[in-house]
Amino acid sequence: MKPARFAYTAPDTIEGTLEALDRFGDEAKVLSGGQSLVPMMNFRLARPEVIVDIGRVGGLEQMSLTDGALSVGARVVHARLEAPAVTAPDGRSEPLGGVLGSLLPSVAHYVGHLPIRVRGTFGGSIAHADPAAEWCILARTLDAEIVALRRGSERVIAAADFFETVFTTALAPEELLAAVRLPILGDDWRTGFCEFSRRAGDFAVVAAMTAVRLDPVSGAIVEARIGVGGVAGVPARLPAAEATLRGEVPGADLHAAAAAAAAGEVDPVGDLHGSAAYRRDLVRAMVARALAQGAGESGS
Amino acid sequence: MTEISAADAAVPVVLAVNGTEHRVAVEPRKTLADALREDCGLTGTHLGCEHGVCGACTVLADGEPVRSCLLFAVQAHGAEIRTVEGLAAADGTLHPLQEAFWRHHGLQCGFCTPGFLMLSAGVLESRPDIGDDELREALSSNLCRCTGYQTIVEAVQSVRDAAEA
Amino acid sequence: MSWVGRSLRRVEDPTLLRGAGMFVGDIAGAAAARFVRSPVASGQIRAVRGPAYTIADLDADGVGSIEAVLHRPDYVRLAQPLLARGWVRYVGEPVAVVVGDSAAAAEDLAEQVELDIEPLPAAVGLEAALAADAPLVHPEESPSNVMVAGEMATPGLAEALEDAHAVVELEVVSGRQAALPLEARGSHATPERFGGRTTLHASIQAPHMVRTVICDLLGMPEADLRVVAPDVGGAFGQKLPLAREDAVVVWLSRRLGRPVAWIEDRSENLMASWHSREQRYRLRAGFDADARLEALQADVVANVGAWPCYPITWGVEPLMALAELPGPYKLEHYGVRARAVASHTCPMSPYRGVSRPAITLALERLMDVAAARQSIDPAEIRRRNLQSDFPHTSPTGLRHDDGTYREAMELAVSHVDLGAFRARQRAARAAGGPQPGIGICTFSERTGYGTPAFAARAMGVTPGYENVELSMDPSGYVTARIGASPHGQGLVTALSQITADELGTDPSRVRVVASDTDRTPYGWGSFASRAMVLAGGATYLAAQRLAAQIAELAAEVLEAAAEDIVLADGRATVAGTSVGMDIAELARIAHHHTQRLPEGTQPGLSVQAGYDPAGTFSNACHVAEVEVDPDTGGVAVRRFVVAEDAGRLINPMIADGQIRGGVAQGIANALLEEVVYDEDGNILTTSLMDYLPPTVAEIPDIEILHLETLSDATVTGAKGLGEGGTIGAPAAVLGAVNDALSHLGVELNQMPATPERVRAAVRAAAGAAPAAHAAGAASP
Ligand SMILES: Cc1cc2nc3c(=O)[nH]c(=O)nc-3n(C[C@H](O)[C@H](O)[C@H](O)COP(=O)(O)OP(=O)(O)OC[C@H]3O[C@@H](n4cnc5c(N)ncnc54)[C@H](O)[C@@H]3O)c2cc1C
Ligand code: FES
Ligand code: FES
Repeated sequence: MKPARFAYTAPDTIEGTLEALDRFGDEAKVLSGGQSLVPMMNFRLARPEVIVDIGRVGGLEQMSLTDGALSVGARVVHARLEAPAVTAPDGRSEPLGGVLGSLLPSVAHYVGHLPIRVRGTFGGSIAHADPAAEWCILARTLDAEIVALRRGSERVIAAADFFETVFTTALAPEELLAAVRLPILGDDWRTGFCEFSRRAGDFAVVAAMTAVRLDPVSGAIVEARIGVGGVAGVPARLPAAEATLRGEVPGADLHAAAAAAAAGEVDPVGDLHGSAAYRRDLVRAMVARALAQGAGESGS
Repeated sequence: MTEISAADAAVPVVLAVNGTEHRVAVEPRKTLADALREDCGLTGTHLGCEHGVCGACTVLADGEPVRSCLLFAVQAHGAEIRTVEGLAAADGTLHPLQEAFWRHHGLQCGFCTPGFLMLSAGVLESRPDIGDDELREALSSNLCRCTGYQTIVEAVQSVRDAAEA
Repeated sequence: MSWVGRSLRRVEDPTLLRGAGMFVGDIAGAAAARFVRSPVASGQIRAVRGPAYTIADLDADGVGSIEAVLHRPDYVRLAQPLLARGWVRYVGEPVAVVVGDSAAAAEDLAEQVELDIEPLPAAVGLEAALAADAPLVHPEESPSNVMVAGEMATPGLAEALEDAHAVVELEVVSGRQAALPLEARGSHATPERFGGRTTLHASIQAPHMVRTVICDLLGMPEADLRVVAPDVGGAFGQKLPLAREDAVVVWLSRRLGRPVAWIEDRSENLMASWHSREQRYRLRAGFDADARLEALQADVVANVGAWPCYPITWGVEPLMALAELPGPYKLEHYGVRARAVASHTCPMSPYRGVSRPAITLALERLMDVAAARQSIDPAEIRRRNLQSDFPHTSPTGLRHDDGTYREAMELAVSHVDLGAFRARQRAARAAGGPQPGIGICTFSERTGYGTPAFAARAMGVTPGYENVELSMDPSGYVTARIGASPHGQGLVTALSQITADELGTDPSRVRVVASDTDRTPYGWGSFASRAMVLAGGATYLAAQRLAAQIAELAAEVLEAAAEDIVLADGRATVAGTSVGMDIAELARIAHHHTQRLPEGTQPGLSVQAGYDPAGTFSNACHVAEVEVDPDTGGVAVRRFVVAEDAGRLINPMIADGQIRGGVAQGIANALLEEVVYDEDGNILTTSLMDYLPPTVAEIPDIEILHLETLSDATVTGAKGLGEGGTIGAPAAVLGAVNDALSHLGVELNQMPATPERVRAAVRAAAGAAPAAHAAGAASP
């Protein structure tokens, strides 16, 4: 179980990286934390001709608040999101507060194990696009924006357009994922994240994330987001289930109704870890629990 | 343009392992685990899966526990690596974790042991007062097929508690 | 003061803790062999192209085939080539082998080898292989896929079943599983430059047996092959049978005149190392009005894969089930048919517990279901049925020596406080959400098999005895050379304790040499919970002999009677006097001053002893407490109690370690681990992301309670326990899962009880369509 041969380059600048990607095109693969790519190379399921290691590139490890978004640099490792801190304009680092400040650690905690989290990166996870990956589900649920660079240009891709199918994204081989922008959620948002996995640290069989914004006066839901992963080729929003929530006040019955709508709405693909029917059951359970968690009920 | 190392050429890499510099020449595709085992002669780092799940290959890189089967040796150039061979003191005195694994019967076949020792060392060095639940969770990173884990957990807890006292 | 019975730290450990162990993959300086394996389950080999050796090369060198034999009329006898010849019969079967300078280079070469194979229909799984029109795995040798079948019935069975007050029918299924030692298999062969000898280092359990069979295959005198098992990173049965790859490695190294190593990778290990456990039981049992088991009829089938394993053959699982199914219970009428069914899947070999995890699961499910039908408590039905008169002979003629079947159960059950648990369970049922359940498993485990037990199996070779050579050197240190081959069980420490007691010396003065055919007497290695009983017994006998030799020597030197010499604290003393001398001094005399001894005294101090008991039974009760989430089917094991009786415990710490490790495997067998093939015979579980050994998060602390009934069937009073944990845990866990969901009407008799299966059982019990079932924390 040893990788096939590859040529190796480790640029120390973003420009150098973009040059290399431009030169080698689809022969090259970016190596970030290596926690997904290297296992695939060891199995020889991935056999890039050239590895462009971005581990020595400066400027990809920033987390900062800009224009109503939290920008997470591609090389921010999962472990840093367990206690997220942002770089203030004056260069000082301060803990990230607010809804995202508590959401991100609770999600990061589900990503693999400690040694995976100290090496694996947020950008790597998004670029890898495993349909059960926590960060992909979060990015999709919150409609994150993905910042992609290529030699001489930059573009911003909406999460809805970014994930195409299993392990496949809108990123061109010449492009580098530089950062992901997550919208800042105000204090009127309630979020929940719940997943079912076979063992500690395993990828979820099914995971669900929910985010609802409450009317400060009536307490009714004015905006609802439900995202699930581990169901089909890409993490997905569930509009029908979201619709059942809007205008209603959170509560057990409502959550059950939304969960039932979610289960009815998904079209799961079965595999070794769960048939389509089983995944549908899990969608229902996970969505109900994520909503309960957001509402402050015990979501276990 | 940044330098590119050809696929079949050996790249010179300096691996700082347990305070000793090893100047080795490796193909880019060689993992840190294989470089440690084959080029540095440090076979205490074991391979149980080569895809990141078992943790038998865990070493410390700049103080953090990492899977050395998921890191190419070329990436480790310049990092401070610590392996099980560097755990005991220079005079051979066992590290408290090694003593504790011994006392608590935290090993049977011993194949997982170097990985568990390095994982635990990394965890306790960064969080000497880690709570029981979090410690269990951290230890869930690695697999042991022989012990059923209880004695491994007890061994690491005893070192934590001794240091705290 | 006695050393036996104390939890001494293991002498094995410091080396391993320093990372200084020597596992086969740590031996440098060999070319790397890589096997090119069949990508299809069944097919005819048209051609193999590329830089590889094939069966034609082995044939040209006159290399033989493996014949794993059972002397039974119904046994289908096969000659298994070391690489596939003509046909491939499972995904992963070795077809060719390449040799490169490094593992990576060998993998590059293997990719260049082109296998031209015409795919044929495959029989995958038990039902497919048993079907009337099933594709045959060995069409030339056998007209059906049944490779061996055993049948027996006691007189009066049919009538007893007919007259029974209640008849319970049950189907119990055990999935296919892998032993999964953390170190996969591997071997490293070095031909000597001169003299023609070869040394094989291999990660194996039985070096002498491997030497014999490889030498037979390659036509070598056994004296020319040295087989060494260096440190072995776990085995659990998977490293007991001969690996074809190991034989090929020896052949390659001799042919190429250079060291050659094969280090199995994890995906090969999951795909093409041995699998185990795939069995189906159909039981029909008659109970009387008091829920006493009166009659049991069983049909057992095991999917044994494409080839037998050497030397135990593919009869081992079904025939063990045939012989041992009655378990710890009183039973008069018993009938069984047990069949080994070949299929186009990876061959099976014994895995910790062999058939008994499945046997026990079947029998314990039967007890639980019968208890539920007759509305009595699971503990009560066992109380009524467990054997309590010893020795007792089973309907299949097995003699059970003294045990504590009932006592162990009472101990475990009182320890968990069933009453308090039931109260908690009622509350949880009222509240909804995760449901607690409790499961009880009682079993006895036949251990310490010697020749008599193996002879009954009529294998081509009969393993059994163990030999030990014990000598004291001039410095007074003792060396034991043993035929057994430990790999993590702490045998070295335990044997030094036994030896120290008999010789009145300190265990630190005892060395144990094992696992090297050049340095140890012929023996059978470590498997089947036998090492402590067999090697321990032989060591005990040898130590007594050596003690007698020392006493005679002391008597001579001290001018006393040998019977009056006491060996203690490193000294030989004349009883009741202060006259004595250091044993080390006597050792000097025995080696260096033999002129002081009477004429005819044999110089030196060395003895030999063999041991070959009929076998004994240890017993235990496991109680598992679980929490089941009916919405996801997820099961968490919250508590696990073991009350066990393995006779005398030589080193309780090591014994507890064996139990804990065994239970952890059993829990994982019950809930997580399953080898899965698709219907074409492609294996889907070739990584540890798909085949799921547990982490610490899935394994609770295990509470152990000891009973110590000394065995009269072994010289040390010890019974084996290496497998017990794995045998009892699956049934306890499944019992608990069923108990947790019993109020919903769930009955689940299949392991592993994966979340999906649990969830499906909940749904089936609810009898409702998916949409109708209320799920989620929000539902009441
Ligand atoms: C045992 C184990 C358990 C795990 N469990 C989980 C889990 O529960 N949940 C989970 O989400 N993940 C899990 N992972 C995967 C882990 O989170 C990875 O870190 C992550 O998926 C990929 O990040 P990386 O930095 O390691 O990327 P790499 O492995 O380096 O790269 C992954 C892919 O993304 C591409 N890529 C990476 N960075 C960029 C970039 N900046 N621009 C363009 N392309 C890029 C690479 O070319 C490659 O194709 C697990 C991994 C292991 C080994
Ligand atoms: S060998 Fe690296 S994690 Fe298993
Ligand atoms: S001691 Fe054998 S794998 Fe842990």
